This record gives sequence, C-alpha cells and structure tokens, in this order.
Amino acid sequence: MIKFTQKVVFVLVLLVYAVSANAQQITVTGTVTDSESGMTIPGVNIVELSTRNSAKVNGTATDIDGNYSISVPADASLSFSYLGFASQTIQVNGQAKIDLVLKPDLSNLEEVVVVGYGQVKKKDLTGSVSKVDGKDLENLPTARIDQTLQGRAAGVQVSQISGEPGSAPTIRIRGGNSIQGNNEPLWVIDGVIVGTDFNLSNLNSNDILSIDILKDAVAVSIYGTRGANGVILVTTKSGKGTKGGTNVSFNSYYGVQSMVTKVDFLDGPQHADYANEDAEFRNSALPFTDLNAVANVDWIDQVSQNSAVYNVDVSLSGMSENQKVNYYISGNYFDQEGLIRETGIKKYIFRANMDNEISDLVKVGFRINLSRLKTENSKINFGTLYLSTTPTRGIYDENGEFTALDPITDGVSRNFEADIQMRQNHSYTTNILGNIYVELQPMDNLTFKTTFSPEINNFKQNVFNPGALPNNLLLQNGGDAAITSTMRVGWINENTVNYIRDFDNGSQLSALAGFTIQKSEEEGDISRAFRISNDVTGFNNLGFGSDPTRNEVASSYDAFQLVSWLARVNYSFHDKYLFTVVGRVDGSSRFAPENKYALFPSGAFAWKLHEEPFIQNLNLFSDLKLRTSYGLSGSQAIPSYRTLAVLSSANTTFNGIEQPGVILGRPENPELKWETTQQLDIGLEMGFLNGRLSVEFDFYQKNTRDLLLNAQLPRQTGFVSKLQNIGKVQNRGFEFLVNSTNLNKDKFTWSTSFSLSHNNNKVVDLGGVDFINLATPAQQGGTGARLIVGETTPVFTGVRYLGTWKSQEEIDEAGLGGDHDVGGPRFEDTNGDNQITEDDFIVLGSPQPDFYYGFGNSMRMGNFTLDFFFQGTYGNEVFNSLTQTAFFGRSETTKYAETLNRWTPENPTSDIPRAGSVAALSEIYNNSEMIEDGSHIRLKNFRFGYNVPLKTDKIRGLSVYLTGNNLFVISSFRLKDPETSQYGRQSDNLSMGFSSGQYPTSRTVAIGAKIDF
Amino acid sequence: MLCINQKNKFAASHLARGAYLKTMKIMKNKYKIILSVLTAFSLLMSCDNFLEEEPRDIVSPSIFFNSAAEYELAIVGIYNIYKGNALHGKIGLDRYYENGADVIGPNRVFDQVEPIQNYTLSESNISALSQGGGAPQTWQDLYAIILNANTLLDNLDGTTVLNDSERDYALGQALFLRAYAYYHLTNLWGNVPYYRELIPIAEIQSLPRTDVTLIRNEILQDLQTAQDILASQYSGTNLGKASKWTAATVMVKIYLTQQRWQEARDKAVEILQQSPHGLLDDYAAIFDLNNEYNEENIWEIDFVKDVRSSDWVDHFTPRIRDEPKDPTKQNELSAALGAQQEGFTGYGLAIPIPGYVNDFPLNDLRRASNVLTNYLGFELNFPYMPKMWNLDQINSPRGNHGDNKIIFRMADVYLMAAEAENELNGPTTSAYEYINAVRKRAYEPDQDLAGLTKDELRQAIYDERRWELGGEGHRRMDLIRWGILEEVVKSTQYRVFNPAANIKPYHILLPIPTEEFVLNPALLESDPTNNGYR
Repeated sequence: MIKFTQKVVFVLVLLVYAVSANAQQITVTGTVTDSESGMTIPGVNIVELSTRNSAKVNGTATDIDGNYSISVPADASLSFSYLGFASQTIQVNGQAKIDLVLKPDLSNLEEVVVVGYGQVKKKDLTGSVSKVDGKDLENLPTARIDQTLQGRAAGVQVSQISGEPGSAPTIRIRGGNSIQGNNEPLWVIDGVIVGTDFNLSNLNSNDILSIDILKDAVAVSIYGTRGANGVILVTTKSGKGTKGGTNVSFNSYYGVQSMVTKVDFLDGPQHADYANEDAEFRNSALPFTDLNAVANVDWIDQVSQNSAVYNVDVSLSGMSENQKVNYYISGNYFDQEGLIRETGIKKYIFRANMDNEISDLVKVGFRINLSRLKTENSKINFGTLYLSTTPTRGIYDENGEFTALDPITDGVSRNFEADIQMRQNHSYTTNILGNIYVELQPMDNLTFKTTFSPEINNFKQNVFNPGALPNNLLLQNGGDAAITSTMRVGWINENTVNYIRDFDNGSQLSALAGFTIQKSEEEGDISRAFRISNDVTGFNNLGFGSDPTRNEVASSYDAFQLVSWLARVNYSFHDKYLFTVVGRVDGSSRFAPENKYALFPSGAFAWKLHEEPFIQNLNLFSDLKLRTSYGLSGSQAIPSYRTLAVLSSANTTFNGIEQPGVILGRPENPELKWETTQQLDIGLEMGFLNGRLSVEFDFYQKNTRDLLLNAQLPRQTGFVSKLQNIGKVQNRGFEFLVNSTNLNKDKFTWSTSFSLSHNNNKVVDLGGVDFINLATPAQQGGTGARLIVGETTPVFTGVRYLGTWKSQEEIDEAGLGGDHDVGGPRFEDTNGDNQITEDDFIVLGSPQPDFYYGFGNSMRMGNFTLDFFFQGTYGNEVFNSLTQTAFFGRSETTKYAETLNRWTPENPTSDIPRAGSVAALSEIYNNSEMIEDGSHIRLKNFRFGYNVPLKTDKIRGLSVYLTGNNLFVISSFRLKDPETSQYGRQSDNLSMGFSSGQYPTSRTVAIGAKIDF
Repeated sequence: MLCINQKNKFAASHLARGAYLKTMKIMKNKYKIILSVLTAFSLLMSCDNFLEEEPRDIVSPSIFFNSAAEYELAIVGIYNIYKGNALHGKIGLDRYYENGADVIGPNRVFDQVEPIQNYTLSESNISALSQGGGAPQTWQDLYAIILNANTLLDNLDGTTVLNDSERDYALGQALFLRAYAYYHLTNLWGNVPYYRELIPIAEIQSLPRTDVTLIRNEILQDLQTAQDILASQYSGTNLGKASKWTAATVMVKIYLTQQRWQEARDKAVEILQQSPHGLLDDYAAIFDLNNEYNEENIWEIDFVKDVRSSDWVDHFTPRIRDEPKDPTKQNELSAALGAQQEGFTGYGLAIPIPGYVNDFPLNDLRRASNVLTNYLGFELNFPYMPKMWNLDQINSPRGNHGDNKIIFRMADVYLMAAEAENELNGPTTSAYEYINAVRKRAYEPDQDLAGLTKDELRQAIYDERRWELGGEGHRRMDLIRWGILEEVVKSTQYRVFNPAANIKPYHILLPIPTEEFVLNPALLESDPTNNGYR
C-alpha cells in the first residue's frame, strides 16, 4: 500500500515537473507586512527558489512601502526572507498578487555563523561555536573588544587582569591545555590569522559585526597547529544589506571612570602607632617620636584620579543600486585616561572595507585597518605602592622638596608622586592590517578564492627618568633613558577552492580545499643611556648619557614561516544527518627538520532530530539537534629557534671594565614538536515555543599530550631544565546556555540569556616526576604554586596558618625551632620535624573556578531599551602575596586596616600577629592566610537607550544612551578585584590567580548619542 | 608559492587530489587547463627551503671557536659564572666556608643562615641555605663551569686557529677554572659526579659519584699544567684573571687537605719565592676599595658598581634598625652617617661572633679591621668587621657594590707554608720565618714567635689564621681539614642558636640536594646515606 502511494506521488511529481518546464512567465506583485505591528516591511528578500543556488539568481526586495514585483514562471516557488522573521516559501500557482504576513522568528537558527574559511547557518552547524553579536558589544566604553567578551560566551573565560587602559585580558577557551606554553586563543580578523597576541586595541569596537568563537575539535582543527586553544573569529561590518544610498552614522560618547572599591590600609597615625609598637617590642628606636608630626598621605588617592573616556566614530556604508558593490568606511578617535594619573591610551583608527562583483565570474574586495595608538604607560607600579609606600611617607619634606627616604627605614625609596610628575614612559603603535581577495566563480557551485593579507606593526617606547627624581638626586645618579622599538612585517597568502552540490533528494555536499603560506619577521632594538647630564633633552638625545660602562644597546631578530594544506567536507543527508570531516597539514619553521609537519584531522556528526516524525509528533521541540565531534588540534607553543643550542651573552668585568663573554645558554633540543590536543564534544541544542526558548548543552573532554615542559635535569649537567614534549593534561567540562524571549509584545520585549561553564582541569602526567615547582609570588615565601599529578593546574601551596601564639606554654609545648613570640604568627608543622620548611607545604587552593557564568537581560519598551549583563566566577582561589607584608610583615610596609585589631597584651585573643613579631620576611612562608576566595559577581555592562522619534526624513535615526562598564563587583577579596594578576598576561597556565594589588579596574559610566543620516 | 614536502607529499597530495578530481569532473575546459597547471606546480615544489630557520640574533656553539677572540669570549663567560650569587656574588660560597665556624655569624635568627650556622642542616633545607638559589644553585653553577670548560677544552683539541701562546692561555685558563670548580665541589660534598670530556647531556645526567681522592689527584695535575702555562701576572683588562700563582695556591690548599705536607710546603715556598706577590705593610690597605689588585692579593674577583655589582658586602654592613646601642640615639647616628654620605644599609648577617670578639688580642693591630664596636662616637649593639663592609651611600649603595672579592692573598700562603713546614719538620726556623712575616704588621712592637713545641706552633698557626683571615672564606674548611670542627664548635660562644648541641661528625660535608638524586638515582648508589644525612 505504501509502495503504491509512493509511486503515485512520484508520478505526480514528474507530471508537475513536466508541466513546469513549459510554464509561462508571469509578474507577481504584493505587499509584505509584519504580523505583530501590521506595518509593511521594506527590504524583504524575495527569490525564485529554483534559482537560489545558481549564478543568475532571480530575486528582488520590497521597497520602502513593503511592495514588490517579480517576474517568474507561473508555477514557481517564491522564498520570502527577512532577518528576524521566519522565512516562508509560497507556491505561485499562477497568482498575480501575493500579499504576505511575516512572523518574527524568535530562534537564531537562520543566523549565519562564521567558521574557519567559510560560514554556515546555525541550524547546519556540526561543531561547537559561540556567536557574539557586535551589537551587544557596541559602545561599551573600553579600549579593546576582548575586554567586552567576558561572560558573553559559554566555555570562554575572560579575566581582566589589569585596569591599565588598553591592557589585554587573558582568555581561556575550555580551560588551558598547556602548562608552560601559550594558552591564549588564536585570533582571526576577517579571515586573517593574526596570532595569539595581536593588540586588539588596534580595532574599533564599533566596526565589529560579530565575533564567533570556535571551541570543539571539528571547528578548530582547520587551524591545525594553532587551533588547540580555540579560535576567535572577528568579522567587521560591510555595506551589505544597507539600503537607499549612503548611510552616514555619527556616534559619540563621553564617560567618567572611577575606582570601583578601595583597599583599606592603616592611615598615617595608625601606621606610626604600629611602627612604634613594632620598634618597642624589638627594643629598637621609635621611628616616630612625635605622633602629631606624622604624615598622613592617602597614596592611593594621591596617585589616582577620576578620569575621562571619550569616543567618537563616524562610518559611511552603502551598496550600489545593482547590489554589486558595497562598502564600509569608518574613522574612530578614542581617548581613555587611566585611573592612575598620567596614564591612558589614545587611538586613531581608520577602516575601509569593500566588495565588488565585477562580473558573474570575478569578485574582488579588500579589508584594511589602519591604527595609531599612543599609550601613556604607568610611571608607577601599583603593586609596589600597595606594598611599601606607607601613609607616614610625606610627599614633600619641610623644604617643599620631594621626599627621597622612607621614614621608617631611612632607606632610599621611590616617591611615587615625583615619579608620576617627572618620569616619562609612553609608547606608540602603528599597525596596518589588511587583506585583498579575488574570487572566481567559473560555475555556479565552484569558487576559487585567493587572499593576500599583509600586516605591518611598528612599536616604539620612550622612557626617561630625570636626574631630578628625588632618589636620583640623592644618589647623584643623573638621569637615565631608554628607547625600545620593534618592527614586524608579516604576510599570509591563502588559496581555497569551494565546491557545493545539491542533490535531488535534499542532500547537499560542500567541499573546501586550500593551501596557505605565511611568513613573519620581527626586528627589535633597544638603547639605554645612564647618567644623563641634563634633564632638558629627555630621551631625545641619548648621547648625553655619560656613563659608558652602563650605556647599553641591543637588538634582536625573530622570524617564522608556516605552510599548510587544509580540507573540509560537509555532507548533509536529507537535511537530517550532517557529516563534517576536516583536516589540516601544517609545516612550521620552528621545529627541527624531522618534526616540521603534522596532520590534524577531525570529524563531526549532527542529527537534526526535530526533522524526525517521532520528535515532531511530541509537539514539544521547535528545534532539537544532537551533535558530536572528535579530532585533533595542535599548539606550536614555542618561540622560534628553541630547537637549537645557543650561546648566551655573559659579559663581565675585569679591572673595572666590562668585557664581552658567552656561555652555553641552553641545550639543543631537536626532538621538540607540537603539543597535541584530542577533543571530544557532545552537544545538544533544543528549541521550544517556536524558538522563544533555546537551550544548548555541551560536554567536552580534551586530552593534551606532548606538553612542552621545561623538564628538570639533574643540575650536574650544568643546566636545570630542558624544554621537552612530556606530560599530559586533561580538561573536562560542560557548557550550558539558555536564551529566552520572556516577553514579546508589540510595546515590550524582554529577553534573557544565561551561560554557565564548568571546567575541570587536571595534570595527568609530568613525565615521570610527581610534581613541579612553579612561581614564588611572595618574597622568600617559598614555592607558591606547584603542578602535582592528579591535581588542578596549578595548585597553590603553603603552610597552614594557625593564628597567633597565645602563651609561652603553647610555644614551649610545640617545641619548634627558631624564635617565637606570644602574639606572633603560628604555622602548622605538618610533618612534625619541629621546623617550618617547604616540606610542610600543603595544597591550599587553585586559581581554576568551579563555575563561571554570564547573565544578561535585554528589554525594549517603546522607544526605550535597557540591557544589563552580569558575569562572575565561583570556587576559584586567589593567592594574595601582599598579605605576607600587609598582614604579617615588618612595619616599613603598608598594613591592612584590619591589623588595627592585632594581637596586643590587651587584645590577647586576636589572630592577627602582633607588631614586631616578624623579624624577616623569610619567616613567613606562603600560608593559608594568603589564599583567598576569588568568587565574585560583577555588573559588567549596563546600557540604557532611547530612540528619539523623529518627524523629519533628513535623519534616519537618533538615539541617546547611557552606558556603563564594570559598575560593581561583589567579592570578599581583600584587594577587591580578584581578577587582577601579579604576573600580567603571561599566556601560560601558571601565572593565573596571583595578585598583589595590580593596576585597579575602573567603573565607567558614559553618556552618548548616535545619529544616522 | 605552492610547495610540498617530500615526506608529507602523500597527505598533501591526497587533499589536493581530492579537490582536483572533484573539480575536473565538472569543469569547463579552459579552467581545466589553468587548474591542472596550478595543481601540477604545487606538487613539484618543495617547502623545505621555505621552512628552514635562519636565526640571525643567536650563536650556536657548533659554529663557534673560530678565533682567539672567540675562545676569549668563552673564558670571560666562565668567569661570569663565578660571579653568580651562589658562588662569589652574594655571600654564596662563604655561607659554607664561614658560617658554623668560630668567626662569623648573623646578628639575629635568620633562616637562610640557620641550617649551617646552627647545624640543623638537612636534605630538605639545604635549598634555603643562602640567598641566590642556595646549595642547589651552587652545585649547578659549578657544573655549568665544568660543562663550559669541557666544551672549550674539546674545541682546543687540534684547533689550528690559535698560535701557541694563545693556545696555552686558553688551555691554562680552562684547566684552572674547571679545577677550581671541582675544588669547591669536593670541599663541600666530597665524592661528586666527575667528567672531563664533552659528553652528551644524556650521559652526564646519570653519572654516579666519583671518589674524591681520584678527582683531587687529577685536578692537581690540571692545576700544575695551568701553573706551567699561565702568565705570572696580568694587567689592564686581564686584571682579575687567575695567574699561575692562583693555580699554585689552590694546589697548596689541596695538598694540605690531603696532608701531603712536603708537596704543600714546596708549592707554598715556590709561591713565596717566585711570585711577584708580597705582604703589604698595612693590614687595612689590603681591603681598601681604592687599592684593588694590590701586591698582596693573588686573586680577586672583579666587581663594579652598576655594571657587575654584588651584595656580599651588605652581609657585613650594619642595619640602622639594629643600631646604636642606645635606641634613642638612632636619629643622631643616622644624621652623623648621613653627614659623611654613609649609611647603615646592610643586612648585619655576617658579623663577628662573641667568641671571636672575646678571643681577639686587644693589642693586635688587625683587631680594628676585624672587630669594631664603636662608630662615630656611638656605642654599637653588635660588633662588625669593617674590613669587609662598605658604608658609602654614593659609590656603594645597598645591593650595588663594586668591592672586589679577594679570593687568595699572600698572608694565607705564608701561613700555609708555616703549617706545612711545621707538620713536616716541626718548628724550624723556616716555620717561624713564615708565620712571623705575617705577625710583623700585626704587632707594634713585633711579637715574633719563637721556642714553641710543634703542637704549640700548630695551635699558634691555627689562631693566626683566625685573626689574619677572619671572614675571608677559609675558616670552616680549615677547621675541617684539621679535624677539629666539632670540638671547636662545641667550645665556641655564639650569639644566636646553639650549634654545640646540634653538630654531628657528618656535618663536615653538605648533603647532595634531594632533587638531584630524585632525577639521578645513581648518586645514592655509592653512598645511600647521602654523606650521613639519611
């Protein structure tokens, strides 16, 4: 019976086909309206379906009043599509007038996702890719686009480690794979691979159309040796889709930044009191004999300021009448002052994008971005200020000169106010990043594309420390200056061929193959002069340096080359079963001849379950897709020339005069190769209520092997370690993403997104050793972090702090070696050998969070819009090395305000050590008091906008907005912002989670307006 | 620009072929030709050249040693390792050679000094022994010197780019610098891994310990060769390099340790008679910063403020927070120091211990240079050793001192000659001559020794070394080779700690750092006790 029906259908189809072949051309007209507002919709794309994939697409668009007219065969099918509305396909059946009502599409299934070397509709995606719409990042008052990504995508952990304008955050996609190698993702801007440390300040955030983050194996393996840490694809705006001549958009905002929260330290008199108590206990001279004469300087206030951020950008975009040419041109000026005085970044950016379909065969285009950055670098180290400038340090002495001495130690120390006023330290970056392409389409389904992408980057830094600085004056040092510059020139040539074939049964095959070649060269030099005889010429005439023994010049050269072959095949069977196979062969100059090439294959399968009748019958899902992928990707996490032994410079003096010398710098290592990451991903995408609610869940497991580790050598070799491919790390976790349209009324819409990520990262193998010691963040505090097999990378280590000694009996009973005082700190002698050493260290925490999350809401009510976005982490620890001095240490360092409640004979229950009980920092090993909970929640962004209703045609749109960044952070961390990092953005896994009070992040509130002409 | 590597031709051509076949099937003819050409081209070219690294700012050891100047670079580099913080830079080696004896100690409990001063030394706290990386760094730096010297010596073999005098200079320097590294290794650890050839790292890393006597005997030969071919004296920018007399002095030290009295005496006398060195009349002038490379000093390690500075001086310099005795006068003392551009900005960690202060003869003219208890009219809390300190805040600020480190000087050789002669022949005229030469400048009027028994003279020499060479990095090794370390420690008065209660016979050597035998278990094979520490 079934067979009979099938036959009948088949015959009917054949008949229809036969008739259609002879169908007459007719003209169809009509109006398209919005189902909700009833308003007509201009710009709806209307295409004759059968010509969709051909070179001669028959199509049109609705005019300003929503009317259209198209000439088609009488039996044609018309597809109506418009972004944000569900597409509809209508059989013409000879009708001359078809009016259509489009319903809003609440799902994002039609959304185009950019993947490596191509793009694909969200619904056809087989890999795990997060998309962030450029609109969500618009006008957030920061210098860098990566700073705004925080919390926006599941599985992507962004940490803002410094508040210095233009400073880069760290990004970990699905955890860090590498231990000592690079863990930053690969950035690709408009198809150009710019590497892991491209300065994103070079981009204008408002030029960005979208950001797509590739996470699983099938998505990243097309980037071969550079994909293992995930790939972030940035797409800039084009003129595509613009209507009605040139669109001019003018946008500007002005904002004020302030310190989110301030750390509480003892003030001047309180600190003097502490110092005196300390000296008295040690039978030393009281540093402050007259408490009324003690200075009381709030140094944090002194060096910081409420500062301004200003942005203006203008863009022109448009499309030719025949839609063959589109362009986007923009200019941007951005000026952000820092929270620390005399710091900031100024950006001047110009962009031009164009695509030109010269003929059916040839299409050409280019993207070019020119930027000039001027950065005023911080003249002071905020961590040092926190550490050692006590409020008792006056700014000026009685003669009105800058103080040069610390009042407690009488030693020479930096005067940060003088530093801010007198030191010079700024840098310039000039960057040109472009690409030009030619696309040939000899057949409807075959495309050849060649791109050439050059990048030129010039960096120059000027530093001058005048002789008039108080410490230089006192030591009669004269001034010193340094000039550093680097020039990098690189290019990539990529050649791809793309082939698409639709089969009659609804299946589709698309294939990509390509060859790419890349080279980059960097030359650097530095010149330094000392004892500059005058302060007039600054760094501009190093010839005034009159200390030939210290004056210094150096230069460097670095280059690398890569060649790659890549391929990808997508096959969708009946639009239900999707298969992807990807592979890339990379050859890299950085490895020894036997190890230059490697292949990184991967594959994926996705099943569109909602196309299956048994799911459709449930009437529950509007979308249900199961996908899984598995494959390899690599990380060439070593710098150039690391396979070679080198002689390093070991100059030294004889008879007071420096002589050049060399020693063996490192052993050769021809066996070095890539780190390889295997990744399994299982994802489930669910849509409910016509896409109003969508849920995406991904589980992944990554196993990284051949880790580039500085494996220890016995020191009898003369070396301490050798870089080798040993060790394994595992990352396992899940990502959970919910998007919901809570309300979708005419006057009021409200949508919510929530992402939650969990990553469990673990050391599996360290090449035969049980642990490796890492950083020593606190002075003489011992190893602060360790890699231990079976534990998270890394774990914090130290002894347990047990509070203060409460009585002499307690001290005697414990029988510990060394000097101990009642009221002094007590640490746990874990191994019971009666001394506190590194052998007593235990695991005290880890910088890896249990969860991190983002939570956003977007509302529109009439002409008002409101967006706000929270982000945070849970379960990570921070190693606060400032605690060693500010809680335990001697009186010449700053003290937390909480030490007011320290142990004294009158306050014998306090667990804050008494003043004077610690004679040397080396007595204070890393300990549990220094490990703090880093969990926090942050109101990351806030935006309130109003679309001003206009009575004129001269202006297309006018909106005003109030926007904010980093409005508050809730955290119990002593230094307030647990994300700041002592080690800056070292891209390895080891530098995470240490803080000693770095450049603070700011709260920004800005007001702005945007006008479209 | 398409290119293919031979090895991976298969993988790459497979990809390319796939695309090629697919396109061929559906292509119009004219494109067929273009693509065929491109594909063929891509398969023919090789990428190997393109992927070759061309380092331009680094030098590989394999292409080095092409001229006398390049050999000189390698020699200079080895000297720089000796200036590292774990050797002669910071307190480094002197931590083992002075602390825990009867001259120097810290002014307070300080954990970097404690293990060796208090004889609580263990395998686990040996890393904390001193600043600059502790004993593991000392161990590593000495072996780095050996590796670099072996590389240099290997390249000297059969080289044609050096003339005879250049070759002798390079050979003598390399042999001396390597022998001096083994001298310290054997002093501190006894039996140690030993290699003299340029062998692969994979082999070096599993070498077991070698008997100390064998090592000492072989380095004595190296030192003799070095003495034979090195210059007697250096000048200009070679000042600070080891001369033939430096090599000879190390030989005397090793002979004494081996109780080869005859050879020790002869070698010492050779130095006394043939070297251009002699004693200065003024003891304090030996240590004067403005009198570096004076006649008495056989070898100095060169340091220069701002360029190649060190902070060993700071260990001998007081801290203002400890001084003066009357704390209420601290500001006055600061002001007085400041008035002459001086400051107490040191660490106070290497100062004379009470036993030394008490025993030092009051009429000894050297006392003022070795023990100071008053300064600028202020009574001090602790005694200091001013011959080693530097208070000058302008020319020698904290952590940035240019004071050379005196390694060997003539007074040491005189006293060693006296010791060897006394052990060999008893209290002969020569023995008295050698010791009295040193005592001449110490007493006014002269207090020449005479009429002692052999044992009395031995004791007098022991004491003389204590006064003459205090703090200069010889004392603990002296006590060890005399076999009296334990006895002396038990009868000496210390300021902090109670070393008498802790010292054990095995403390004459250091334990090999734990991570060394974790990485190379062969180190434990010949001695599972690790010098008695386990």
